[in-house]
Amino acid sequence: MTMNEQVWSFIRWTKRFTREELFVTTGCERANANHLIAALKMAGYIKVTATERTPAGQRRPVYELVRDTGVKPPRLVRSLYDPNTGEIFTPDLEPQAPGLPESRRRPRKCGSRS
Amino acid sequence: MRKAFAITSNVERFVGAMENLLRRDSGVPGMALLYGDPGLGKTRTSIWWALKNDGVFIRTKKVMTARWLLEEIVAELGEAPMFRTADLFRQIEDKLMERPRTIIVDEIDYFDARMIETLRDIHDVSGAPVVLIGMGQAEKKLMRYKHLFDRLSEIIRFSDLTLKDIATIGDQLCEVALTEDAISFIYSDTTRFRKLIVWLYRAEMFANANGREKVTSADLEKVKR
Repeated sequence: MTMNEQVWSFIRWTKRFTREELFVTTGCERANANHLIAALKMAGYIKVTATERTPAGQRRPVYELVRDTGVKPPRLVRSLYDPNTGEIFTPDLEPQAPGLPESRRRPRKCGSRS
Repeated sequence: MRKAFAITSNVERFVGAMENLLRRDSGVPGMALLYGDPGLGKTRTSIWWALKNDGVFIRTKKVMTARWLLEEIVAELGEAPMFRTADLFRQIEDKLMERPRTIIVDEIDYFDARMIETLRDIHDVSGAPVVLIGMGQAEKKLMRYKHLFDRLSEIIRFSDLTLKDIATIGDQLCEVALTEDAISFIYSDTTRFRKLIVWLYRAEMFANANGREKVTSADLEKVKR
């Protein structure tokens, strides 16, 4: 299993997890996992459903998988940024399959400086 | 605190049993049972092992049927489940022949005889190792299914942390040294992992605040709440 597959399998198998549990169990790079968690959260795959207290008394989020699409891990791919116009082009975060409701589609161009 | 997966004696025994299962001679059955009280890390350990060894982890549900179980296994093996039960079974057989993987099934306490026999059949036709995870009474429950029980070549019972485990986990995770009496002090208070982590954290806080390199039981007594 690649590290990406391990992270995604961990999320699917545990359903509820904290970042700490993800790092410790998969042994993945903290920065990579943080990026993936942020992207999965933004795309509606996971959400924060609770918080728990660390031994230091701080609160940390507990994530829950709410959209399990299958064994193949969603991948983070690069986006295109045009510094001339401030436009950012990212791949679609949801499949653009025929018949998918318009409300669930996301625009291809997702940011502009103007 | 260091961020690492702690290797306790429970984890060591599980890893040893899994190695035996993967390296077993032909003719030796390849099923295992992992059982123990809740909160001892059975699920977390098996997920950790499955991630590192290309295993498949199936979490069962209380209302699950044998057919539903087959569908879950097919999906977890990366195939789209077919409609007929016979086809589902064939899909599993084909996938496991193509790429042998260990199937780990959690919470078998919900299982009825039909589901137990289904897992036995999968093991028999594919030869893939199958690991069953259950609670404290799982071993006694499975004894009723003689055909299956005979195939359990490894039975691992997870138990509370030992004194040696606490010393080992302290070495692996705690960034300050703990004296022998500090380890005994923690052992007298808890044999559960979650509470042990709290003690290790307290020891680190005490050492940082007081510029100490070693923490003793007297120090821990001061930070006991």
